Amino acid sequence: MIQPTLKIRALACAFALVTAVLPSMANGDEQFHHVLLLSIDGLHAQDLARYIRVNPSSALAQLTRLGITYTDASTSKPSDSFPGLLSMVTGGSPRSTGVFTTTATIATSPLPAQTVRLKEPRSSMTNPLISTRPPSMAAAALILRHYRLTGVKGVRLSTHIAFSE
Amino acid sequence: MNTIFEVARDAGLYTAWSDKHPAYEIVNGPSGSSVNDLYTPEIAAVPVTVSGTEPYDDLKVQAVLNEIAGKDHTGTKTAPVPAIFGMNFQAVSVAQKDQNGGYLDANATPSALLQGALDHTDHSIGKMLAALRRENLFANTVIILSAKHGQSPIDPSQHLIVDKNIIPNLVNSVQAGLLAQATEDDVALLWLTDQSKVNAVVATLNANKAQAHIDTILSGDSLKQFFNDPTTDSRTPDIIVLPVHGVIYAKLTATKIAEHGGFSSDDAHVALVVANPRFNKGTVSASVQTTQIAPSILHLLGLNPADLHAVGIEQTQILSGISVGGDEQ
Repeated sequence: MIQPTLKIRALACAFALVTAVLPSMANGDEQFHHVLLLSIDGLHAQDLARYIRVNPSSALAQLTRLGITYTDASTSKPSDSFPGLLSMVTGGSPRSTGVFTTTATIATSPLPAQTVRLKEPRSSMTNPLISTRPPSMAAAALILRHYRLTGVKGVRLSTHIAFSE
Repeated sequence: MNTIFEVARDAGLYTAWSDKHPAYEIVNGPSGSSVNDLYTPEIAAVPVTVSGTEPYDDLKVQAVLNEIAGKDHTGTKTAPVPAIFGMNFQAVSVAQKDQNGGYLDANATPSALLQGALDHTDHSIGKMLAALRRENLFANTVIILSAKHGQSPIDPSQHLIVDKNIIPNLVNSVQAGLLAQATEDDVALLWLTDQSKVNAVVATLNANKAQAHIDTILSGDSLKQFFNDPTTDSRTPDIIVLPVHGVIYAKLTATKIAEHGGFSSDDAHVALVVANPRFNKGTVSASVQTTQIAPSILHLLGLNPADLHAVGIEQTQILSGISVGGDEQ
């Protein structure tokens, strides 16, 4: 069960982090040249814990032995792919990014909502090996350019926009 | 909100990213052109099966291996090894949702299908670790492993598909055409064409909580605790419905046994590891957010986390506990 009080506590924790001290890593001579960011979509903390326990010679176990494991990490809420990745690359939750889900929708009041799927139907794909941008993707990209993480200023046509999957 | 790729570009660094839809070009940020080498093969082009998704993931794995080897994602052109790069793996998520996959019990014992997807993904990460060692990049590369989302429910006995038409119909019962957009998974995000009707819709949803399997409704002040006010930021849903744990709003014929998008622990409590052979090893049990990955990446590269707009707005902190030890491995 999800209790509102729990969520309020989570938010309070997030704000408490404001006052947390910075890590002790030295600046300057202890920098790194590369960061490889990997998302195993769906991977719960307990999935990883179990996997490395059962498979101690696995790559994931090896990786875990090389660093710091955060046992209580939360992704964005909503916990969808777009806001989840944007959290990792912007440092912001949907509150800041405005990206809640993965379909671009324009509700043109009083007209019906127009929805642009941000993933292409299989029928439109000729070769999955090639990253292409079919015509409807161009429409979606146009919306993204207008709305891209910047808020709704300047887009008077639309009253609502969402990104969903 | 700008992205880590834009901050890196402004510092003259080279970056790459691989993900599952062309629309992930959004990682370029508002400037639209910060990722030097973006590879986004469309996942909707392959069957939604583990056996269809593993070869698809392998495309992106090969892209990363090419990048580690000093090539672009195609492996045909010489390129700098990116300062920031990476990808998403999809096979585990597909296995979690597959009616023949998922978990066997509430303790998250994986099914054979899910175990296979985990093994395949582990093998791919093993290739990356080997490649980093081979190219003498291991000591200078930090590997961050996490997940965009979890999957809910873990406990197969809690899974329940609820007709995705119920909530939209309830909204439109207040006033015809009132629903502008509903995005439903194991959450329902509702945008209304007339925001003055929010309270009326909430009253209707509350009166039909049992039928719609609703646990919590966020609107007005309770919604503004987490998000911007939808009346001034129309990107924000007017109403967020959190269903009873395990409920997925879908077509009644849907076969998926789990979803993501919701606010539950199964949805959001994800893996997070930050690794490098020079780090002091350890476990951090304090609550952290995946938003903290972004400023941490910039910090590790010697860039300024405060250059990220969202870091300023949300006061997002660098992940605690990262420190470099004396004895390198």
